[in-house]
Amino acid sequence: MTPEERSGSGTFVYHPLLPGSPLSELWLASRGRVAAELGVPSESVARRYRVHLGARLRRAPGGEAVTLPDRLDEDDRPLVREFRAFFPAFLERCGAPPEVDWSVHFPSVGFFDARAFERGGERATFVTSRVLDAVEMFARTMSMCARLSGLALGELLAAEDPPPEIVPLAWLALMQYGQPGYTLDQVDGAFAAQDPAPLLRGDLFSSSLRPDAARAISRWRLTHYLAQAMLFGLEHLVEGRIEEPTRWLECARPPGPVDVPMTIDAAYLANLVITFIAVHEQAHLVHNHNSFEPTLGDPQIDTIAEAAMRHAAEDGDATAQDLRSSTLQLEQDADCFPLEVAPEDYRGALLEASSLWLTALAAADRGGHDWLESSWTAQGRVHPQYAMRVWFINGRFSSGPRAGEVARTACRTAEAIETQASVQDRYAPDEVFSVFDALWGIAREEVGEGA
Amino acid sequence: MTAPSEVTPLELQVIGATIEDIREALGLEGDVVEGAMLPLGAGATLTVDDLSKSSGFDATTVVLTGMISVATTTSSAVLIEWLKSRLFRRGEKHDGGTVANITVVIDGKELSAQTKL
Repeated sequence: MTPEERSGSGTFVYHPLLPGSPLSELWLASRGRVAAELGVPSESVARRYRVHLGARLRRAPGGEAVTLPDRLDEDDRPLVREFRAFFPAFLERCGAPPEVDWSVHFPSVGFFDARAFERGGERATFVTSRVLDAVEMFARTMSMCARLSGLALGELLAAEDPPPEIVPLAWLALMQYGQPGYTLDQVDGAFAAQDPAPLLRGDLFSSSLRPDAARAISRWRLTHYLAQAMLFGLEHLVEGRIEEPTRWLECARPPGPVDVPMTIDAAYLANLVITFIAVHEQAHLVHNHNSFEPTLGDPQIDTIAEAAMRHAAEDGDATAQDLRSSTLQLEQDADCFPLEVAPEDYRGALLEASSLWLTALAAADRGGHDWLESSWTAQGRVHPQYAMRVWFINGRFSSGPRAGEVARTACRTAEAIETQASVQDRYAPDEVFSVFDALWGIAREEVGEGA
Repeated sequence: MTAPSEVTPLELQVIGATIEDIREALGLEGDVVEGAMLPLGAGATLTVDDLSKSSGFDATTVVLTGMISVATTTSSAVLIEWLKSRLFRRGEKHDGGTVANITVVIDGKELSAQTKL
């Protein structure tokens, strides 16, 4: 099915991550390639990385509990090997400047961090293994949710009168938080139960509808529960409250491949997210963000900014902030870079993957702060909130069927997640894991892969 | 009395979001660049060994690493007290919306201060 085809109900199913798209084909072709050999970073680059990682450990929540090992071994999980084959193929087809290269290191460090360094003409990007853990947990869950949504969608759309014009497949599971029947923490006792599976089954599969409709609704609700459990887990993981994530990844086994369009290959999605992260971090080097020298601005932007500042100075009722070269602006610039260098026919998939990832990360930045107010108060000194990043890249790069309702859905979903209460004081990691594990068990049965 | 050349220099690491925050926190004057020797209070001089900025996953960090040498018999304890008074005095003095977080590690001891800009 191409994006132009419809679900059969007159509804357009927006799904740029579908199998068979140009980027997906590149990904599949790369699986036959030999992974690129990676050089060891020089002592001076490695030392500078350790200095900055050590600085983050001193200042970031959960950092004090992490000990930096004397030797930074490379993570060698299958995702890394796949990425080392895919990323050079991706760069070969990109308009990225030659400074962007595939030397991305994945040090085994239990702290969520990604950054790039340059010293004496040498460049290296470092993405810790904890980022890989989070990406895999996210991608596998999104894959399972897409599969379940795909199984339920026909029945659900048939029940809608009139059916919606467009549905964004990958986003469906992340929406509707707070609504009865779609909100995991409204299932009484689920997080306190020793074995939450029977309770969750009872909640999900109690319906008086005809069997096909009931099953579709159950699967539909299951996607929401599963996505919310993943977001709770992701918040704990990113903020350093899960020391050993292996069991989380063992239970989140992605569904096996099936030849249907409404699916997401978990490995493909994970590789796109790592690609986005790697190119984003390299943007900081390519665009001299880490330099202390003042950078030359765009003359048009300079004219606009200077005029705005002059106006604010002359008009007592107006205030303005000059965000040129601010941390906020540099991060937004780095977010745009992967999408700018990606060829047009890859951009939709990369924008979808990066938007979904940043939206999921909003779970690690919850607490009800309005991103617009926060960015004003911070005067551009801190990184933009995730919802702001989703808003920015979608506003700038959405085109075709994404422009409009889909882009707005992405922004609203990220904002909704960011304004929810943090899981930290509500459910301990073990409580979230029990529910996550139980939901994955139910999901596997629903897609015919039960034990 | 110990001669200046016999005083063991103290290792210093300063972590902030911007070079301006670090300059403000320590009251540094002159170019803050690698190799610079900058006067500090309490009769001490800071030699900047390394200065780097890194935009990471959730924060941009500037790290200054250097050595502090003292021209008199000023002990590390006196210097730490001076740094504390400087960092925490600035934190009390200002009142605004934006906060600068500065972490100073001197002689293995960590001092952290939040300064409102």
